[in-house]
Amino acid sequence: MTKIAGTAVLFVLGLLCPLILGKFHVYLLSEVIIYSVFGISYYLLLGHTGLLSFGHAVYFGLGAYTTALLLCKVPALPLPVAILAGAFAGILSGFLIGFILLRLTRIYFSFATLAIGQMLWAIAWKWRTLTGGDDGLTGWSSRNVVLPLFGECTLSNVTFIYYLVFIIGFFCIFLTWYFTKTPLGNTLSSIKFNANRTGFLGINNAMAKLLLFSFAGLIAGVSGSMFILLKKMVSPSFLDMFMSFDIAVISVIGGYAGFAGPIVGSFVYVFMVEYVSSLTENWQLIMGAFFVLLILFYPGGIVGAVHHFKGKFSFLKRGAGS
Amino acid sequence: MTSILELSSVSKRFGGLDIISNVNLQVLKGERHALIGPNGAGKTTLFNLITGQYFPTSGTIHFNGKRIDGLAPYKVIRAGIARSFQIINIFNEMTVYENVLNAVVAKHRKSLLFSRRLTRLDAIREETERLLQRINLTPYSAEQAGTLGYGQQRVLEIGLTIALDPELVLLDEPGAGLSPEETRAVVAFIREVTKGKTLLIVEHDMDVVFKLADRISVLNRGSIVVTETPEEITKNKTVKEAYLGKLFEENT
Repeated sequence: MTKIAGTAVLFVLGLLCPLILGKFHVYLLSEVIIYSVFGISYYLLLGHTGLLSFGHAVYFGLGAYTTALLLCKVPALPLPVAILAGAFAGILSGFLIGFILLRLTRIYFSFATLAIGQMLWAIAWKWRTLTGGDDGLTGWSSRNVVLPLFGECTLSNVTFIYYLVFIIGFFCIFLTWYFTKTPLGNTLSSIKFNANRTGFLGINNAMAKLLLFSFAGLIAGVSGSMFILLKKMVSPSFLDMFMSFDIAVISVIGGYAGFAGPIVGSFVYVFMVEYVSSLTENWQLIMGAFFVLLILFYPGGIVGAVHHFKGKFSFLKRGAGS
Repeated sequence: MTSILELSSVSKRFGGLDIISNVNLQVLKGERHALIGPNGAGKTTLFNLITGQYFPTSGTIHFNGKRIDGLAPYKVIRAGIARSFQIINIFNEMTVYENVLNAVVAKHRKSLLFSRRLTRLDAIREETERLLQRINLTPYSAEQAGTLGYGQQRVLEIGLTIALDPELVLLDEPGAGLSPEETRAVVAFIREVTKGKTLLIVEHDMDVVFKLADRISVLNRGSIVVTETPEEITKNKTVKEAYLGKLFEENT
């Protein structure tokens, strides 16, 4: 019950944010939500099957490019259809890459994902006529959208983008939570713990993993679609290895034992990058030191550290009760 | 009697070594069939061949008239065979309840379902609870399987196997590592849970074998030496020399 109440409070707070905060913070929060959704997709693979991907930006980037291309080349297409197409690109890429990489585990899996990611990055970089090369694609942000409550606004309206991202993001997180509660979600945990035994229960492990890849691709694809709406452009950097590393770093900062990890990680990451980089041009040095210290002392990430301290101070609670 | 499982001239070679050579074995429908033999005779390899972990180098394996050699383990299991393992093979990090639940969900072919929540599948929950009752692990259902005592882990291991409700149950040394007391309990348990099913069991403990089996096959150096009833086996001279040895003298 407390979980439902907490989620409800977060939901209401999220809805109120644009009324309280300035445009700049609303923009940052949109970014936090997108990274959270992307991070939760990553957590599904890493936390649920123990597969460390170095190419998770592929699903994100393909979702991003699909939506961007449709917005650029088919101006008559409604926005929701373009986002759904991004989601579909995510599913398809997740399925195909899953199919190719299914047999690989551990470091072999990680490096194969890296290779596929860099291949797609090279295509996005070189295929100028379709992707615009390193200039990327842009030019849809002046489009008008008509909304039932808001009236009319452009696609560059930060408040509109925030609400769009917030609603879709919330739905994606709910969907992922639901996914983990289904028999398939349970089967995937079982495979993580003992794949040999699940096979001898008559479970098709490969098919279960393929479904997981497709679903993780779906969620990452949607987050990519939202990202281009926020950034008002798409470029090859959306699917390169640095984007993949960013999401890996976010997962480690937050901790990847649950849904809270990627959300907390995204929040800390986005705001730290923003504020530290405004203080010094050597911001990456500070970020790096923070990252190293965190994994040295709290390998469970910030969420893990919170649980650690909760345990340490639990005597306070008991003291108050007796 | 019709045979449910039929191995015809099955051989398995690892490198230049014949682990299983030209094995012919028929397991009859409804019987309790024991497979005995000295260490390294190839008993577990034979199980691995039947359940698809290894593929035979030559020969065929039929189950209910359907050819099953060359099928992946999960397909063999779906055909109606389930096995337990010599080295306990359960989900240590999950609770006892979740362990059995996994098997029940798998039996109902709902393991890949993603349109409903697992806790909403009432029939599966009830069946899991019934099974826990049947294998006497209800009091431990919330405990982590890895923290159970060894004997209880054995019971859970067999429980996962029979939860699939297979036609043919393969048990690989269910008595391994148990005290005589625990062994007696496990034998009674096996007798109870395999009622109406066909059983193929590998076991070192002669007490277990002679109490349970309707027929016994003796495997030595990768070949079946003889298949007979327990009474005939005790009289058989080759078996006596090859395997039973001193133990046999003590028992008579």
